Amino acid sequence: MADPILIRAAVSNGITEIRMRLTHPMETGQRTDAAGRTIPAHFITRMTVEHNDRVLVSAHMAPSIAADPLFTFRFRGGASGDSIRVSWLDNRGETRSDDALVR
Amino acid sequence: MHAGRRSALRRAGALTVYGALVLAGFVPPAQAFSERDEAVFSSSTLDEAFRALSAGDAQRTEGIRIVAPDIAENGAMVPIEIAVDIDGATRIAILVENNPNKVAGIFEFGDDVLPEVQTRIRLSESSDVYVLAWAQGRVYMARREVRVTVGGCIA
Repeated sequence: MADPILIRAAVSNGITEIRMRLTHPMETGQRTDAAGRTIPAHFITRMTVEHNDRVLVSAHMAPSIAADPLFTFRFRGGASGDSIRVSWLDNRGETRSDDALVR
Repeated sequence: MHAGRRSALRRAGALTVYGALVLAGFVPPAQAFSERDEAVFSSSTLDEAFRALSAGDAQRTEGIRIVAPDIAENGAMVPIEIAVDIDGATRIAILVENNPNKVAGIFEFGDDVLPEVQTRIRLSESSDVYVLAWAQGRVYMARREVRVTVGGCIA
């Protein structure tokens, strides 16, 4: 089971800022372990950010995004108590989805 | 194991009942993911990546702001901040010329979302970072060089 996505969302002056941290190794497939074996690629390929079930951001990504990806996005509107959902899918088919409320 | 999971949930802070059901496997995630365009992500040269993104004729612009360190000590984690000041921009791509994986990410924005992204990228060595932005059927481009300090932690 993948670790939860940490999400912070807050509205200020009509703009909602969403910060998220996805816990994931984002292994490139280029590294080798101590025994010289290639560490297989393991990375998030897709991510979505939703606001009250409407898609705000749809992302495609690769291991050139650093491990434990951090993202900040902003949108006009949003209100305290609105729901934000972040979901990801990785190259092994594992997924994770978490929710937070706008402060 | 159960206690471990509970404390992990508590750390997450704001997990709803629905989220807990998704977690437990009772409810599938609402959002179905579309397929990733593998031709884009398997590009082995920058030119190939630009072609796969149909951005061969991208126009250089001052309307894309890229904030990143001139010299990054740790190439594994380089902060980057992108803001696009072009009317109608709905999509941003980040490319790293000298990485094996040229395309780091593509971000598509819904209505009312500001065409910006802050994240951390990985640089295997010093490289030009390209940012593409799509607005009203046109493609724009900006470039920023980031140097990486070599030999930071060779054990």
